[in-house]
Amino acid sequence: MASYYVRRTLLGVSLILGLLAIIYVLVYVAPGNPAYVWAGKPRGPRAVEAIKQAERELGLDQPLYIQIAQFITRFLAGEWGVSIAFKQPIQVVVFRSFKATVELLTFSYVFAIPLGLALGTFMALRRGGRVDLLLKIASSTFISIPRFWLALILVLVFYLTGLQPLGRLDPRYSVEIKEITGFYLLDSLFTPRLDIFLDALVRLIPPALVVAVYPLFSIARYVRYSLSERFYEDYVIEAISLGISRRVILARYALRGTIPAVVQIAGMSFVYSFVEAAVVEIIFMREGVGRVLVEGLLRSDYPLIVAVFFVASLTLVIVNTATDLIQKKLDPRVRI
Amino acid sequence: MLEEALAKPVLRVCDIWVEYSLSSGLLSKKKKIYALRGVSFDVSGSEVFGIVGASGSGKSTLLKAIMGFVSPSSGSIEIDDVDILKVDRETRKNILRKMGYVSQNPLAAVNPRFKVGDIVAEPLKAAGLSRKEITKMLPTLIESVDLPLDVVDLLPHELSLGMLQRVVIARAIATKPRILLLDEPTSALDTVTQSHIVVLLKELKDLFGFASVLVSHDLKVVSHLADRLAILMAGLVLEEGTTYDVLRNPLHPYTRELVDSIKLKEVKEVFTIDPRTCPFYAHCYLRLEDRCRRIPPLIELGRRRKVRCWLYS
Amino acid sequence: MVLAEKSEVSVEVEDLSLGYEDLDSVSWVVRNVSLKLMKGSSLCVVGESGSGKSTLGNAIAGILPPYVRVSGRLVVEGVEVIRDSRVVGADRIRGRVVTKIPQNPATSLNPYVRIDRAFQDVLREVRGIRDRIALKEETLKLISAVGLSEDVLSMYPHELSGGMCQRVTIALALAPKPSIVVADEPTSNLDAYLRGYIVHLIKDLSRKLKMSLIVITHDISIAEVICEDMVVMYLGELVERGRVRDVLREPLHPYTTELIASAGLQRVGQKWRKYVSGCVYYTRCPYTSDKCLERPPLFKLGSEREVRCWKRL
Repeated sequence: MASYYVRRTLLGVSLILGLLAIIYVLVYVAPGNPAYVWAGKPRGPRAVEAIKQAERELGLDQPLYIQIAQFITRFLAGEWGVSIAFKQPIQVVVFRSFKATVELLTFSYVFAIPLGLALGTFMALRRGGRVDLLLKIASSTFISIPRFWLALILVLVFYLTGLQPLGRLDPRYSVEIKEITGFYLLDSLFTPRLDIFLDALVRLIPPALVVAVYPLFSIARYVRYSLSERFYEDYVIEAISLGISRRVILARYALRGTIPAVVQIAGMSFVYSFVEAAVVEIIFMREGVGRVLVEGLLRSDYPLIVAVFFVASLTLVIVNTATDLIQKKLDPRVRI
Repeated sequence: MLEEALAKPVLRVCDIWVEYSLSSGLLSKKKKIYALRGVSFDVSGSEVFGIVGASGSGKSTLLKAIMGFVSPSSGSIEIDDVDILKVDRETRKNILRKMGYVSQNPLAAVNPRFKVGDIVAEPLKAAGLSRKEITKMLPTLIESVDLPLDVVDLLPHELSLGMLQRVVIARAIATKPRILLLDEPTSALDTVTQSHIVVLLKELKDLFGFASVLVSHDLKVVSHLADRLAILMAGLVLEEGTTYDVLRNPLHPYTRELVDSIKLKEVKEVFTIDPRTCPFYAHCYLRLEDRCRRIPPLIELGRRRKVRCWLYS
Repeated sequence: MVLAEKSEVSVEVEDLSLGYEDLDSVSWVVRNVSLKLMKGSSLCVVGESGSGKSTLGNAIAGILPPYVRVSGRLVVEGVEVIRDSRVVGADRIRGRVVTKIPQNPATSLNPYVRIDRAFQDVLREVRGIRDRIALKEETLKLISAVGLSEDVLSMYPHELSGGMCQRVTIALALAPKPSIVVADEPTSNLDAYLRGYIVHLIKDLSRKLKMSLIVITHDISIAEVICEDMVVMYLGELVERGRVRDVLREPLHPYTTELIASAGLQRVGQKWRKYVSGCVYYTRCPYTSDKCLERPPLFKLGSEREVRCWKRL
């Protein structure tokens, strides 16, 4: 058992190392000649020499595996460099935006998973009925609607109600807030400043709604389908025949069987939501990894892009590993 | 002369060992689990050889090994004196053509979108027969398994389970195999259909004269079909002999319980098997405390009669 | 006198028909069945797949699916379950007065919880036991009644063998203290070796706890061991009823003869004949006459024997 966790973690670590190597090759080796840029795009008679010099400085004259090894060791030691686009140390930029994105994703998933379960159960209990059909159409529609459009509509709606949905926090508050964890909802509660909390909450809800659409409805659809089948599973019929109440059968017998797969679906859609968050963050003008990545790309900020890629991959590896471990915990039949 | 030809084995399984390794950790040693531990038998002429064992005894693994889905770690499997474990893939494929296979669940054994006619024709097509020859052969095949001719245009789900099992049998014998492998052919069927299939298999054997290996957990079914049989438990042969001898005079205590079970007598379940002791040790009512802790050898008692029990050493 | 006799009746089935809704028609799987089961007695329902025996058993156990169509009357322990083409009291009997032993033990246990949890669910919900110590005590009592040790309580269903799973489901069926137990093919998914064990276990427990027992099976040899009365069903119709020993000694319906032969893996019966109307067994009966094109009524022979065949006229 314990050795399984060790193995899974080792696998995660080796995945991250492999990812770093691939990122290095993709970003530094593939497009153009970074030494040319590093040397200040030189021209004239001494250009060749200057580029050679730059190559030595960047280590590009070394064999590829040494370059990768150097890159990884430097990266793991925390030497991430300075962002060209934001003129700040990359760690600062990435972690601030990363916290914002995690806040957004966590918030929307905390609601999307139970809501998806509830909606799916509701539909399964009324399968074949009119409510079920209506919800089925609604879920297909919501999943297919382009998220940027949905985001724009929400911006509009919130403006009409007089609430301010853009940004992460009112500029006034962003000076006042004491950063403890970097997650504004928590920080404002710890301080405690209820007005800041409410402001952060109001600005968090619309983007979270957009992000939640995908996990919510994909979980609901799965639960509806899987639960309807589970009602005919031998062990459920057996429980019915033993006179166990409907409520207990639904929760501990039928619904219990769908949970491992729901965790798996949530884990996989988290990956998708990470990408979606980029669009949402730009429309709502929020800080976030997606937004940083787009700006970095537009200004050829290579070190920043590498760092963002790394943090994103790291998150995904962690989420996937966690999903597998939870899966193991939830379904006793999963072999290790 | 004739007797010699009949006695010559078509299939000879010699000291087969099959192991599965379970990896339990990155650094810890791999655990080996033996599915078969030195199983040997031979089947000759038009003989039916039965293998009886509970689930987990390794009986399905044995058939898989004969068909080449599982490769044994040692031993040999000879078909017409050719060791199929030592030949190249092409030769092996040709040898495997000499075998027919009938599985437990006929629903899983056929493509649900194929018509019955096409299902039966499949192996004939693979053997390179022309469409004309196949259409000529098909009615005889369908009739030989006692099905009405109009089933050829039906789809599998339109047939009952028993009829479908007949289709699977027709397919297995289509290419006139030398050996028919029967993996629990009646276990999924109710008693009425079961009896029909048993009677049919008997008739077909007399008609076509193939050798067959019949694997089942049901000694009753095996005793009706097999000429000789072996009792398998935890990958070990516990007893071997002609069906008549084994039923009339079961030697191993486990075999006695099996024979009792046909009459629905009360026998206890065997669920704790220590791989280091005699597999029946924990449940044997005749055990001798210290001696039976070791695995007994397969003791030969006369021609074609073997038993693995310390009582007979 | 009349009152006293009435209280003796455990299950009363009167002209009961059960069917499933197809797109726009109803396919009746049980047709006009009438029978009575006295308290503490045991009844075997024998028939092959498609005879409607499982549906009848489910009706008595109170687990009919919502799309079922009914007609006739069913009274279980004084509770009217089916009346005037409606299911009215299924939830009042299931798990209260009647429980079911399932056909497929391995899939009939919740795979996500340990065995003790499964017992706690039933004991809490149905028996209303809340106290932890009482729960534990009751669970231990049940589990030892079926010959299992305490260790299984901390295991998951997939860690148990087929026979152990079936013993757990039997213990679970006893947990609500029912007065009737319906065993639906309790041995068909087990190794043949265990049939006798499970059958005797069910029989002994039902005798000891003075429960009425209904065993549904395709294997007539099981009826011989476990039950006093039996009914034979074919394609939804009751074709013969009587004491088990009478029926086995002198089967009156040709289908019963076929069932008895099939238990010995012999084959009687004809090839399929086209069904027109009349007797349900016409398609396979070896003794048909023109009379059989008309549906025979249920002839009464004495108080305990009934048969639906023109031969008895």
